[in-house]
Amino acid sequence: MTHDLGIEALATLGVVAWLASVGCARHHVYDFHLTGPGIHPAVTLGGAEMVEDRDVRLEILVDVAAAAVLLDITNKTDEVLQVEWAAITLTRSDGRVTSLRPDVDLGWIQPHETIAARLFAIALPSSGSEAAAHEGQIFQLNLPAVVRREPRLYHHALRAHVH
Amino acid sequence: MRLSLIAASIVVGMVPACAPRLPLPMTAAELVRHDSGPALVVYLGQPDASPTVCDLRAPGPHVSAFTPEIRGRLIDGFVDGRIDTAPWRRCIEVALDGLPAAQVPSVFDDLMLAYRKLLKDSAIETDPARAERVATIQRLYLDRRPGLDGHPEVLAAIFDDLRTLLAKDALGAVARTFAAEVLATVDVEHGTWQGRRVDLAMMDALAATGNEMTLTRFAERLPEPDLREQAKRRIVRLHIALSAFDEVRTAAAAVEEAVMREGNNPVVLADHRLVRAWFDDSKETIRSVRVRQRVWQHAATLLGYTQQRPTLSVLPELAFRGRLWAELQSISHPVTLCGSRRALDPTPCIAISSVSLDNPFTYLDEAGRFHFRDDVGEKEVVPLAARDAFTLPVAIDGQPAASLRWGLSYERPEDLELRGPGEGGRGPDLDVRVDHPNPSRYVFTVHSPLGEHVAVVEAADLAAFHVASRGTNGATGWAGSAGSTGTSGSACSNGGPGGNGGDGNNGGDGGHGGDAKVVIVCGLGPCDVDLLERIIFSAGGDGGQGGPGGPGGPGGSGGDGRPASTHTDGDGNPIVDDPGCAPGSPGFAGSSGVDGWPGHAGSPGRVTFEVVR
Repeated sequence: MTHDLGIEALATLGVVAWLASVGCARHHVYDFHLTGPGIHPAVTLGGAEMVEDRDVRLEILVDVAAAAVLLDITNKTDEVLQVEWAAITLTRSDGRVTSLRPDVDLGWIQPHETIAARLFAIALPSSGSEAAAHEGQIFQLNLPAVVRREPRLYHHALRAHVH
Repeated sequence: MRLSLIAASIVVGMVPACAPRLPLPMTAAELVRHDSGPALVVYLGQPDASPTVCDLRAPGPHVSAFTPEIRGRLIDGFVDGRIDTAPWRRCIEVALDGLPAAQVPSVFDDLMLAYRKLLKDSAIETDPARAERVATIQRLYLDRRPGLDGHPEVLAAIFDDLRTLLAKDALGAVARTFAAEVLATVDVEHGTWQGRRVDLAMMDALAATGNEMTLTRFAERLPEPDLREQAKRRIVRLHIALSAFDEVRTAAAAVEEAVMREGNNPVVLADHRLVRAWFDDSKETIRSVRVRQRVWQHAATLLGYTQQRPTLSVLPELAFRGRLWAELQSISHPVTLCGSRRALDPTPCIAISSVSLDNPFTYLDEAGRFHFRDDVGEKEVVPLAARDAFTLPVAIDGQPAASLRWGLSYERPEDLELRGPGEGGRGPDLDVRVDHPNPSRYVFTVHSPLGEHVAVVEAADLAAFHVASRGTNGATGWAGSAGSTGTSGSACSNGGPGGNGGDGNNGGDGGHGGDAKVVIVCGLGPCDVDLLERIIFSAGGDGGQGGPGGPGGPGGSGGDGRPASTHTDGDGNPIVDDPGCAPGSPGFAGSSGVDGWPGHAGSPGRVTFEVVR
């Protein structure tokens, strides 16, 4: 028995095959954890991790679904602290640099106060080999600030885990 | 109609295959020779390419015009990922600075149309590179100088579209962030912020909380120049309040005026003498310069590479801000070069006009960046051969301050082989001087009737290089004439024999090599005289090949045969009227001529060496 497949039938089959491949592509979920010395683990499951020095405390959580880095910054000094909000970047393992900006304009952090910032936007592949390749990759958060009148650049490494 | 569209598509698709091949690395001078959109994309796609080539006012090499073709290719090249973010953005910025005002709106139209297309593509949510490109176009648009913009009707349609998409929640998280940011700033351009009219009270409230982000939007985007100035003034005050320099805070009012006037706070060097200067090694890339010589054109190209990126590319621009530091008398902290006027930075700094580079291959552009002339004369690169390194001594206010030191090497040039004229000509007499100005390098200067030619050769390449006077090869002998064809036989006759071919002429003798007088100046270091004596020589040209003997002529064709003819007499007996004949045989072919003898090879000339130690 033979079958004649016309162009339309072949096109239909192609679309079905494509849809099947897309449907079968595994959707990945990310989570990020700070690496390096002096990291305080999250108090609650999925909560922010914390790192601090004598002047600044940072609580960091990457919200992949919202494409944002959630950052709570506490100024532990007796002087105002300025974060260069427009100059925060994320450096990926391949050297690509992404600018992150808060969703609302922010200013100085007064002594002993905390500001909560939502930094946007992180684009991440959600499926396929490109997403899987992010397993174990380091994303370095670069946070320029003026602390005690001196320019300072905070670097914090976030390791990606892809499930 | 449809067919013609397909045909047109095929033709368009074929164009790249017919386009000239673009060389890599491509210097700025080579780009100018091509002067096209594709060439600009290729040039800017190279590491360390200088975006100044996009500046129509630049003193150095640049494209001749920012045509729609170049603009389109440039935007496509970025959207497709063929040009990195930083050079592309700077290219557009400097192009905008140099464009006639009437052409500027079209650039922003094209940019924002590309922006909207990228933003509406859901791939932006999962493709970091695409998101970065959107961010770059957005910053380019939001950071543009007041007064520059696209055509209102084009931009209004784009912004309306974005507002609709936001209202319908039709964008992903990444795209939504970008759209919200750009629309917020567009509102500032209409004098409002978060639904309120912008006024001084609002600015003072923002300044009190150190909100430089919003004040910067106001300073750059508010429609009224006075309000923009007021926003700038508050930013300067914020900077002064946080300055690490006591002298800035104590003279706040004067510094504020200086920064409002100048955009930064340059130190008067006559009042604050240079104590010392240095480069911040942590920010320096270890670089090397590679000299590519074009000995016959008396020209050279300077190329560069780094330890991290060994592939040759063009030399980078040099911006010394944050890399060159100086301690100045009576200034409490080290200072670097002044930055952009837009930064409104009150930090004491050194005016770029006070800095000079003592290197003949560099020049300073209007934006304070040093550039290299990458296509230079050969005479300029020969003196470098004596040096171990490519140095860039920096002076501040005329005083030697610090120096950058890069690696230096020469690509092996073409052999300096000079030949005599025509065929069998004698090689030119040569006066050769070999200098050894550096233990790792030799300089060959060759004088001949053809002029002076110079080549710098690394010692490691010496065995693969040579200088020679060579006679030209002898002429090839003429071929002998072909023999004539034999005469055709008449009916029943044989064809005549073909004529013999003529003998080939002898080849001409090769030219003799010219004489060469070689002076080897070894200088202080040891030099490899034995090797030099092998690679500098004279050689005769090869003898010309003998001409081949002419082929013998073919024999003539035999005449046709004739059948017998008979008739019957009255008694019925057959009578032979003509017995007929067989066809004639073809004639014999003539013999071929004898090949000529090859010419004699020329003799080498006399080469004398004098070694001066």
